[in-house]
Amino acid sequence: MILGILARRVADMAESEINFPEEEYRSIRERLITFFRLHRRTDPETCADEVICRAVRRLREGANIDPSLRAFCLGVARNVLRESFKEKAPEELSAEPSDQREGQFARLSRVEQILLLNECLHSLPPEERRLLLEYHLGDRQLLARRHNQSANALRIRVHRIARKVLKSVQPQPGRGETHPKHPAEESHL
Amino acid sequence: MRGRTAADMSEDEEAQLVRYMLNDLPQKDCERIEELYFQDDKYFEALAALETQLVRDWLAGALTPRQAAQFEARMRSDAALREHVAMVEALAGCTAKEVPTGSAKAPIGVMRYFLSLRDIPTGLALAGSCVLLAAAILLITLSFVRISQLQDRVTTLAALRLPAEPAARPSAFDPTFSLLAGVSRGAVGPQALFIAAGARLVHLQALTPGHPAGILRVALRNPSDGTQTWSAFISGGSQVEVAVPAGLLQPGDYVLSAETGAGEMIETWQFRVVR
Repeated sequence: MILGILARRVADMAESEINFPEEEYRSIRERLITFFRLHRRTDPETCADEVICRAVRRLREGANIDPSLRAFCLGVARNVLRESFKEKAPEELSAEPSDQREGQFARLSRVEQILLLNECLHSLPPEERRLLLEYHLGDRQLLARRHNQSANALRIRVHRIARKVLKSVQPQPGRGETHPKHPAEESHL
Repeated sequence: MRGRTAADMSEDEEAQLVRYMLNDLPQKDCERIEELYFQDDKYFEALAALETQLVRDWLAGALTPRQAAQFEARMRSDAALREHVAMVEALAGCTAKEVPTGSAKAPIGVMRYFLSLRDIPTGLALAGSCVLLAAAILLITLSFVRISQLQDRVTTLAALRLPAEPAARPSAFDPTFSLLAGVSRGAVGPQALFIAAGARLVHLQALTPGHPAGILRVALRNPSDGTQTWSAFISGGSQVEVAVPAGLLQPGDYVLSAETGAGEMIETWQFRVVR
């Protein structure tokens, strides 16, 4: 079934003449994943890809983009969300994770996690490494005062570093893992 | 939010975003926030950054119980969030040399005590362990000794409860002798106590004039070195009579004494035994 969806998507993209810049595509996809995560969909990436696929198809069919492509995608995302609720009710809260998929990092033993994380941390500039650790393990208000920043600004700064670390502890491309591709890339498959 | 930076976010806006992230906001407000973060890059980044703060606060126990429960519910359905939590948890294992102690929150309560144990020198810790080990061994040994003593006592008590050997039957050869105070019977001449070979008991009679009835302790001693050969408690009055096993009375001199239960000597009698 997944192969069927993928084939349909690729065909759609190949026929598409929609202007969908890669940066915008990634930006929208990231928002869509966040949207579905926050609505407790256990497969946010698949849902996001489905939204993009539908959006591109609608655009090809001549749908009106008003006021923007992002708003259009949000509308499609709400439809997909409603449909997914019909197919599968919101996950009942239980003691066990309803999403059994586990990330690569969480699956490692604690010792392996520390070793890998240590390696990733040492690839960061010392100032960033220090800031990340101090934020998570120290007094963040004191830290904000010391850096002469608002709590929000400091949080965003730390978040950028954390994103880098989270990305670096994940498997790298070329090791057999799948990564989302821009529709334009997929069209050349 | 347009035209502003995420750093300008008010506390109310931040609280609302936190509620949105924890699925605790009415749908209408959720839709407004979604429209904002789909349009505004900075707003989206501010929202995403709140997850970093939530993870940190959840691990630090800084969320309210309600927020913690909502966060845990999200974790159950969100593999990416679990990945983020695992990463921050692992950070604690990478920190020892990275974070200056001054910036970290001081540990409180019992944690402070346990953390202080890390600073004890290894030698001192080893010495302490040895002392504790020695104390434990001593305690175990004393317990075994005490148990052994108790076992002995139980054995003794059990033996005491065994039926006593039947009293020696009177024999036709059992002699009876009368002793007089201040007279050494048999010290000279034929008045010595002659005990026949078949005798089992030797009955000794003596007078204790003026002594009221009561319990007396009677003992048989060797006059030369004072060693006690035999003793018994008897009910005494103006006359006492004791039966001494004949086997104890080997040829020689003896002193029979009678004293009260309080240890007050009443009378002594001397005699010689011949066979």
